[in-house]
Amino acid sequence: MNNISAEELHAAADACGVLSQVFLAGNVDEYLTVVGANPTGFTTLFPRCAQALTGADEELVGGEILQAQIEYARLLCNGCAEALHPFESVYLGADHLLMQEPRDQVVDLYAEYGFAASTEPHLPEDHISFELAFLQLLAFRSANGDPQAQALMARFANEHLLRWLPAFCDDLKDAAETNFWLDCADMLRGVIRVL
Amino acid sequence: MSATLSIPNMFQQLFVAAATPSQPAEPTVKHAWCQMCGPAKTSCSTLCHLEKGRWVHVEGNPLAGNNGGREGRSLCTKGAVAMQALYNPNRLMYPLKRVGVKGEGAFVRCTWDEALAAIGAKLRETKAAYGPESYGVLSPQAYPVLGQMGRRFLNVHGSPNYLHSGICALQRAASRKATIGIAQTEAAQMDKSRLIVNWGANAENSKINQGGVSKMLAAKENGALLIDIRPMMDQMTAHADIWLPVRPGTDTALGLAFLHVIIGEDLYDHAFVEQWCEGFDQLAQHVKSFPPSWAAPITGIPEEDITRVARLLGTTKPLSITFGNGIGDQQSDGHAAVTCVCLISAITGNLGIAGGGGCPAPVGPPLIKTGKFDRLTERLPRSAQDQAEGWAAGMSALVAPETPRWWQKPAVWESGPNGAYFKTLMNIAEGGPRPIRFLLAQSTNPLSATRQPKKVVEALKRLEFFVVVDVCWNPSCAYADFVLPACTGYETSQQFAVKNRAAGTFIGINQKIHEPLAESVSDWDFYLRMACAAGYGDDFWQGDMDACLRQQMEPSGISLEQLRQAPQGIFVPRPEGAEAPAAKERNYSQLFSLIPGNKVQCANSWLGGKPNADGTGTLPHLPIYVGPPESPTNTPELARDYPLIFSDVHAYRLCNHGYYADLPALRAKQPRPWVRMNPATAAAYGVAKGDWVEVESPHGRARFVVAPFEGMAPGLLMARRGWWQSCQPLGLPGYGCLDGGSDPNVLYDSSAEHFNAFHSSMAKQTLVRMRKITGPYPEATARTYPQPAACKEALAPAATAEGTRIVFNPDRCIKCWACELACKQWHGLSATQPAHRRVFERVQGTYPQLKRQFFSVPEASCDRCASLGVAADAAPHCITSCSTGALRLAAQDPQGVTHE
Repeated sequence: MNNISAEELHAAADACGVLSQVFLAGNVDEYLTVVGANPTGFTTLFPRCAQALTGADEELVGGEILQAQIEYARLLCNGCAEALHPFESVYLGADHLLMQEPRDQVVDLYAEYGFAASTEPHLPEDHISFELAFLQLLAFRSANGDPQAQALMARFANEHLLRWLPAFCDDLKDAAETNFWLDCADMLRGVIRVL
Repeated sequence: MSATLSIPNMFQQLFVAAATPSQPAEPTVKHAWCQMCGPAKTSCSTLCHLEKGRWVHVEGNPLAGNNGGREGRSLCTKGAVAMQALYNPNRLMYPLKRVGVKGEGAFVRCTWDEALAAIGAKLRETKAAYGPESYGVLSPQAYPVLGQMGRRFLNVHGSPNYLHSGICALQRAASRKATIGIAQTEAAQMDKSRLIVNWGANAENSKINQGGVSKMLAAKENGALLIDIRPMMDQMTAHADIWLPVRPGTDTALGLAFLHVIIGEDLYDHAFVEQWCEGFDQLAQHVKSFPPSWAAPITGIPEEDITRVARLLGTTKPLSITFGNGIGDQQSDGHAAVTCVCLISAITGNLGIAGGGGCPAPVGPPLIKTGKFDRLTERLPRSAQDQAEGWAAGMSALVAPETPRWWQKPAVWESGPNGAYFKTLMNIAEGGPRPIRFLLAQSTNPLSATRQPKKVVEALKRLEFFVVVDVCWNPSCAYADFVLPACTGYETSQQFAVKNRAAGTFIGINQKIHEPLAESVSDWDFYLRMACAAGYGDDFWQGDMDACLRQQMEPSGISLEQLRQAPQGIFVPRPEGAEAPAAKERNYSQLFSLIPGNKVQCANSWLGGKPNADGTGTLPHLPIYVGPPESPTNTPELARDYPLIFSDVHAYRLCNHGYYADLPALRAKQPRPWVRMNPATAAAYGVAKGDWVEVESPHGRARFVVAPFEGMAPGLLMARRGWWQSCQPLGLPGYGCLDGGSDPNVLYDSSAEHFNAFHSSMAKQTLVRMRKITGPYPEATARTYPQPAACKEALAPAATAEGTRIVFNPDRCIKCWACELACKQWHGLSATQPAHRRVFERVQGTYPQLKRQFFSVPEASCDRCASLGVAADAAPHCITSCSTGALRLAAQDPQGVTHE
């Protein structure tokens, strides 16, 4: 993780913000509407979507949105028998269930930094959205030269994120078929690379 | 980053300053009713231990008198790992709305408001267009939400269409009521029984911690003779003195032969018969035609064994007969089978006597009294046809009644009118008259809960509106219009129950372990929301479940808040010196008061000659053997092509109906769908343990893994259902409900002419052929997880003083695995790690002369839970979890053996 440029960290922070939101809320329509309006502006962030929506009319954009929403429900809302489970405990816990020791550990880590996950989503604190949101803050502060954030970010990466996010990213890449979620998988891969 | 995209500050949205320690520092204990036998069940009170805000341990609540009043901390196999149901990653989290074609699986996330608005609108629309009876609800099992709130909703809406499974306890309950009223054949005071018959009952799988198993074993220790009548040598069968391995689906033949001997050899109670039986002479004449020589080739039981057992039934008193799902609920002639059982108990004078049927020893009045839940039964409309026919309200509007319309009255029903689950679905599939238009399925997978799922699929495709409410996705969800996430009972505080016993009365309510996951809601709250959306808020406390609970709690003098603050529940001891009233023996005028004429129906004039459930014919007066739709004696020509008999175990200790195969602790015990067969059968087909086979009947095909077992007749196959859920933690797939999957329901006949004419029970016996499936078999799931944490180190065994040794009594072990799973749970061991205790069995001999013994032994790593802080002279968790007392400290069981 040494020698990460501020630019890379800012980009990673932004990607974490986007990914944290879409994994939690599935607000595919908001993003694809923006991409559809200006595809050339998103060839880096959402390359497949940008390509698919270049010259697309409203109907095509709507179709792309619907397919991505369906895939979100199927893969990330347990809307099928073989859905994905974006929780650290599921990947690293001994029985691959929710709320195992990894969750306890990230809660302690958040607390070390003086924060706690909001109870409002009613999700375990090791949900990918929480972890990416936390990383968003650490990356932003690290980019601004905060040594405490840099040290914690390194620990967070080594003890948690890098132990499960690569596998989750592979699973998302294997399971997803829509441009949006494939782009999200690549975006997540980009964050992992920075770490 | 593009200036047109606003990057959300998710940290600001999802995190707050942690002013106080992030998690509770001290462990906490919360009370919850175990829900592993079904949602909202209240059979076992449990204590849930939390550390750092998550549920890590569970045990029975000693205050509540679990296990039939035996107290203690025991739990069953499933109960010992209940937290896995709460922490199941497959949980539905958000409402989903279908946007694609039925079956395609194309859903999008929606809001509760949108879902409820659509549901409310559809309820009003279908009511206006087709009448209120166009709404129906599937009943997978009796549980309070459905029987109380669900029934109230049906009544207020105006529909009688509660669709009971047709394969469960209500079937045999109806037969019993029709024959002996409210009398029971199973002893409430089994300690006084001299002969106990366990006939087609499976308590060692379905009711491990509810007292039935313990009292049977205790009675046997007390000198009672135990006879087990089941096709397979199950765990309790292994303890029986006599085993009659009856061929599946032929119990009526056996019952008739028993009656032939009992009556023919004058072994019945003349005084009782003369005073309390109607139609005995007709019965006596009838059973002359069914000697043991007739029954032997049908049942597969030697004539001399039938005669011997019949004589025991006729001469040993008090006699207790426990009968179960295997004979009454899932046979074409299930009503006749139960009739025979009841008549055996009756004419031998065993009803209503201590140690015989019923006759409970009263424990004293409840010291905590709560109000009854009002189902608003009077709101169900009584049509002009109902009145003209003399039927109860709603009868004419039942699409496919489960029992005859004229029969269904408040005196005999469980919670209200019942339609039949499968028959009602087929009415939809086949375009029958007045079909259900709006169907609600709550905690049920109709593709596994009833027969012939491919036919059920057709019904779901034709259904106008289908709503599924469940904890996890099930295969029927693909055909739903809305799939709604239910939380578990551990995430609400809405389930209370009162348990009264000799020592006193207990009341407990679930305490929330967590807030409901994501946007899941409780089954109770769902009904309230649906009711409000439909415009019935005035009858449903305007959606306030606490108001409903307060209404019920009010007579107790205990407030809801008080109860919610009691981490072990509240127990009110009976005053010292309080005497319970004496047991009422031979209280026949009350026991038979339900029956017209107030007498046991040996030839049933209550049912006989009256219309059957479908109104297509009349019911017989006397029990008649029909047998399975396909059997060696009924369909000998078919048997040439399908030479094997197939059936399944309805309940099993590792699942609840078709659920829980996705929980790693339970799935690890039996990873793959098994079919048991005698080793001789396996050899004849060239298959061995672990081989995959395809089993095919005239109706469908399924695949299983061979599990040779000496405790069954050659030519018989027995499987288990409920394999459709994958278990990703173990890398195991779900095996599918349709043909080619592993659900026994695809194999059985489903034609209405074979359903029982009285109570619609459907046979779960058929003829099959089998072949080995060769070649690589797809097994792996799409993903694997990183390796789990390293196994814990072996623990040094602790020294034990005399009297504190762990001893094992093989006469009490039923190989339920509760000790093993409790060990893992308490020591934090994963599903794939070995416990510090191992349960295994030894089988000696060959069918039918074999001995099956069970053992529970500590591994070298066992430290008697010293590492968990259990004192050296105290009982470790394997002992406290054992429901039958097979494991104890030496001081408690001097006869117990020390492990080798």
